[in-house]
Amino acid sequence: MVSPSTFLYWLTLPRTFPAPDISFQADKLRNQQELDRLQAKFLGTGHPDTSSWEWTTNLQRDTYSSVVGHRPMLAYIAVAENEPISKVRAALIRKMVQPSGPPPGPDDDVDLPRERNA
Amino acid sequence: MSDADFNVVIKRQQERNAAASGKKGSRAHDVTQRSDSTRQNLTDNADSDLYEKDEAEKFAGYHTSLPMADEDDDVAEDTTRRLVGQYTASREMIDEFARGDHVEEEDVLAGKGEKSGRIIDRETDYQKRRFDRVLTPTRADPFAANHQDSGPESGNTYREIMQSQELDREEERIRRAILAKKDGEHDADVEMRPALQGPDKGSEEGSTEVVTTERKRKQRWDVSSTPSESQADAGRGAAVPSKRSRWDETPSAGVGAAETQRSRWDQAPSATPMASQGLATPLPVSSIPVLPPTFGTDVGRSLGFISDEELDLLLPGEDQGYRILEFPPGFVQIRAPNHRVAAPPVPATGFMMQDPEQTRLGGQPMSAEISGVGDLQFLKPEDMNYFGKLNDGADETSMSVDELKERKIMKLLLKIKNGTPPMRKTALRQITDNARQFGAGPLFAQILPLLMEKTLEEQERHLLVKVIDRILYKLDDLVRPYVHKILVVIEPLLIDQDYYARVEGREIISNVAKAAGLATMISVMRPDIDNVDDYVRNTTARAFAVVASALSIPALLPFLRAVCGSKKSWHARHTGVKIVQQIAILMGCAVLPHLKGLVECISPNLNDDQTKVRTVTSLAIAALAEASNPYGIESFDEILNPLWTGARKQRGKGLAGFLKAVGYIIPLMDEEYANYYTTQIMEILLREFSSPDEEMKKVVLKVVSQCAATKGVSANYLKEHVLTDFFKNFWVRRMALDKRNYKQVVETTVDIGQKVGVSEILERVVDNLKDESEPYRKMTVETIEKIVTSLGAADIDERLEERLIDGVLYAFQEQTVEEIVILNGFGSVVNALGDRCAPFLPQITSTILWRLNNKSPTVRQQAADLISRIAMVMKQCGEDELMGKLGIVLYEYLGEEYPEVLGSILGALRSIVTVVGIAQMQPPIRDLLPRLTPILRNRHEKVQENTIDLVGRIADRGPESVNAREWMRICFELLDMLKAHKKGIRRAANNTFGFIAKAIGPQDVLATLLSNLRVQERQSRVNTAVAIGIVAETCAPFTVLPALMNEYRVPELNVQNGVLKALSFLFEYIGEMGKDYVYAVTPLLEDALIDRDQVHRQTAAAVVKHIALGVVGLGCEDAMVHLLNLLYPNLFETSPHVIDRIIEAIEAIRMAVGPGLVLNYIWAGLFHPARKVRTPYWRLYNDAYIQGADSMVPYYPNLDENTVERTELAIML
Repeated sequence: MVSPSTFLYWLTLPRTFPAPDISFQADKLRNQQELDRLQAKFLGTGHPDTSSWEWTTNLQRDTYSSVVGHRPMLAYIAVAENEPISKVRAALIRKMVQPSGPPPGPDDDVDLPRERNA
Repeated sequence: MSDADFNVVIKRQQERNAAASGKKGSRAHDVTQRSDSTRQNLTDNADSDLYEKDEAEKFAGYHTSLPMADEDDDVAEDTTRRLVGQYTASREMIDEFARGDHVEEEDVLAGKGEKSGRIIDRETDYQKRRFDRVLTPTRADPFAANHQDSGPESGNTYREIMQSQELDREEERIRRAILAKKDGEHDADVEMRPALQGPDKGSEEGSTEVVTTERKRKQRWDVSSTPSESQADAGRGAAVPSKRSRWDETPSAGVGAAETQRSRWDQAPSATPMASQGLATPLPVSSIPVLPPTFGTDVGRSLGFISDEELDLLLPGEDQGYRILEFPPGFVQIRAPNHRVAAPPVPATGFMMQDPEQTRLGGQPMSAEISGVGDLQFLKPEDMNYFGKLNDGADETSMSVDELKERKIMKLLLKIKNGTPPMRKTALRQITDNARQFGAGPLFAQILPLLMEKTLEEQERHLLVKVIDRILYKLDDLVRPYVHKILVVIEPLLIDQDYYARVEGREIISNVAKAAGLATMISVMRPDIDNVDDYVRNTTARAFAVVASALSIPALLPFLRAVCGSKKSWHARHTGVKIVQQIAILMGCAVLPHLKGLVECISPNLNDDQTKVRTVTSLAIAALAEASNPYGIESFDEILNPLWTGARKQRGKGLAGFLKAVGYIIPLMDEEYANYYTTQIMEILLREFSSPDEEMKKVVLKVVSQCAATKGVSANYLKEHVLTDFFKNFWVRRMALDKRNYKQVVETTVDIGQKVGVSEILERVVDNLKDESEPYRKMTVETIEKIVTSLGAADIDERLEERLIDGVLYAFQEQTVEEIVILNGFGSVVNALGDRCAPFLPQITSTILWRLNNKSPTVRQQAADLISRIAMVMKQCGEDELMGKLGIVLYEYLGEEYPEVLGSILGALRSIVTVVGIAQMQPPIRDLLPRLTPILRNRHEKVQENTIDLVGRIADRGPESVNAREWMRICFELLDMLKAHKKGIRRAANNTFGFIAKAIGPQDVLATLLSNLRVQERQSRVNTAVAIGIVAETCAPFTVLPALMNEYRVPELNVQNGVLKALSFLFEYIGEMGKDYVYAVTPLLEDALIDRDQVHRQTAAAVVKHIALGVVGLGCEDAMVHLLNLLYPNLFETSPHVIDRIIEAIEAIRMAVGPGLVLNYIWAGLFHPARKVRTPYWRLYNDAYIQGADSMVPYYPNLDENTVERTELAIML
């Protein structure tokens, strides 16, 4: 009774970390391909190496696209901000460009968990 | 049917039963049928619970059979007081004679039959021609990014290859010319031979290279670098003087000739195979270039050449009037290094007998294993040719890097090819990961010759092909120089019989194409397009089609256009068109966007000078039209005219191709055009109706059925112009004898029938039902069946109806072999006629009854099958009484001994019960059911399936007709059925449990099922759990749940697990009803979820999942959160089954309580420092995201960074 998504995801899971051992290379290769496919389909999905910048970027983009996608929400914000709906919409879409700022440079320590809330 | 008839049948039947019971004893150990103890004897007591069966006890304590050979207690010890020892043969000897161990096991042909895995054993001669191909030398890579690196010496360039192709063709032409001449004038002289032939032959024969066997094109006669060259030159050196001696030389030259002669018998053995191998053209003996005899002592002397001094000694000098001529100006004598002349012969590239001694001739004895590899699954003698090097015991520390690499690759390949699965896996990984370090050259140098090995087995080929596939990914554009070699070994896969081999081949070629790029592919395959060998051309065409599908058709189209328009050789045009045909076959409707381009590309070839090209063009058009059906007629517009006019001009095979193309194009046309073009072509079709050629017949039939199927062709037209000729030519007995003709005729007739109607066809064929030829009758019945099933019998008039039934009955009765076709035909006709059958039913029934009583089991089976087919019609005709009689007769036959027949009889009974209903059933259900109970024990699948079906139907419709006790007995029998192999049987058994529980109340059934949870067999327990779930569903959960939960208290793992499993099924089946029971089972689940046993928790998680999914939106959130808290610590389980169930349960709870709450559990671990923690958390996150990214938006955490502000969500109005 594995749901398709679970099954798919199960395939994508890397079995061992990290893999200095050569024997898991082929599995890793396949997992990597599966994960690539999953991410090609769902941009917002992540993996253990997703940086917090990537995650927050996706999170904000999802939020904006959700508001833009639900007409009543859009209308609500438009009324609150006293702006035409299309303007609000355009503004929201524009906000989706790098919502969390530019990607961190190579020397920034991105892999440290930065989130403080739960 | 009269009562008298009926009584006769009954009487015979009783006789038969009596006879059967008389010989019952002899059948006691017949394994195919039920043993006597399970067969219900009518005179016995049915109830063995009350009255115990005495015959079981009767022989207690006796040996029931004589001991068989394996028990040798009687030879063990001699306890008698004999004075003389008793000697007998040893056990081994007895066994040997009994089983013939040594005779049968050492069968030399044992491995060569169909079961042998060797590919070569199942190949056709055509496919075996792959061995004629040789691995070509590495090619230069003109497209390499760093051109300087791959210098000119790295391989043959395109120009060189094309030149050598030219040479090959010329050679082929000359060879043909010679052959033709030989055939013409047998006294053709040796002197007529072109001078090029001799040395060139020599070069072809003596190809020598250690790793890659050379293709002949490499031995270009003007390059002296290859080893074989020297031999060729040596040959020439020997041949030239001897030839000269024939006509313009002094007799002293006879010395040379004498040497030639002498060499025939005292030549060094190594030279003999060299000179005679692979000599395709039979040439006169003297023309074979041979080496002069060599002796080891004469080292300083150059082989094959005679010095000037020697010549002076041998030939008459100037003093005798002769003169030594100068070399003509510009003549350069070719000198080849002579040390290569005696190079050892290499296995030929053509066919070669495998000599088992040969491998041993190397001096080294065969060793059973290869050092440094470990235990292999097997090692063939042939493998030693390739891998023997590993055994030489050389010191690895003193080797160069290249040698070490080579050995490493060799080891890995051997492990992959012959190793055990785990060995194979690691070796495959290593070779893949290090592919770039090893380099393409060394890898392919070893893999490809292995693939050319003649004793290769399928498994080995599959593995080696897999290696190529893997390393292709890694090597990428490094493969370019090896593309042709790869193609040589992979192309044969494209024409393999095995579908999977073909797919594998396609995949490799398309990967090669993607890695090497279009330009390389074209430049590599271009020379093969007009190769002299049609095998090469054919496989190349297929490979090109694969390349086209990998790199898109438009990219290849300009090239195809050029090839199809080639002026130089018709071979190229032929191959070009063939590529288009293969593209259509391979890609199907994906050709549509490029259809116009493809058709334009091949359309000029319809009028080619060569018949073969014209034929293949028409076939390609047919393939394109078939692939693009029903679209794309506009692309074919411009070829319609040439095609139709061409069809008039062609004869024979060419015509067949044209007609085929026409047949596939007509269905694409709109009505008007289809009508016009059909009339245009019909004339030719009608003419070809009488063609004696089988191929033509098939094509004509196909075209007729295609024309008939189009809208534009009217029924009237067919009736007036086609039908008469069609039936005259194709409805003849001869057509029924050949299987393919038979099928095609039936198909075409049915297609025509769709247009012209049932009666038109039936009128013509119905008399054939009484024909004396059985295949012909069969063909007729099949046609009638197909037509009547699809069109019904509405327009069959009364007279025809009579003839039809009469004929079908005749055909049915006259079968010598019982055919399913006839049975189906009978069934369809009767069902189509419906209540119009009424007058014939008595006759049909009496036939059935007689046949039910037949001696042959297949006849009985068929008769019973017929009953189940026509039961519905009998009901429609109101023949209830007749059915009652049939029922009784069938009931009497329940003692049937052949399981197949018994199954059919049960099926017939079932269909009667279905149509007449439980109440009216004859014999009454209360008699029938007890009779079925013992049959339930029968192990035969067909019997089981039909019995359970019948019993289930009775339990469903009329459970009251049998008492509860009988039902309980059936329940016990059903438990056994839960382990049946066939899913249908298990499902039917489970459903029957439900029906029975409904009929007699769940308590007793449940008790039975619960006790069955204790059995060992997993399958049985699982099915019991399912049955409990079903019972709960049919009798409301509250009747089952208390008992089930009580059972959980049994401190036994299997039982508790079974209970959990049953709960899981139960909640799955009852769905929303589960909300009333959630709080009741929560304590039980608490216990299960914190159990130490993994499987326990896993099953409990499955229960939670089903409960949660059932109560979505029904207000059990508190219980769900409670269960979630218990589930969550299991998140770090690693066993795949357990973790899957846990994740599913958490997901289900997310559905029930909403994502917000569950996500709060997830945020904690997404960025945990430990990767082992992050991994499952991200998995949960991704699942949530995939299922409801939108609903997660409000629940994302508020991160107090200024970059992560979602101020829009804070707006309040």
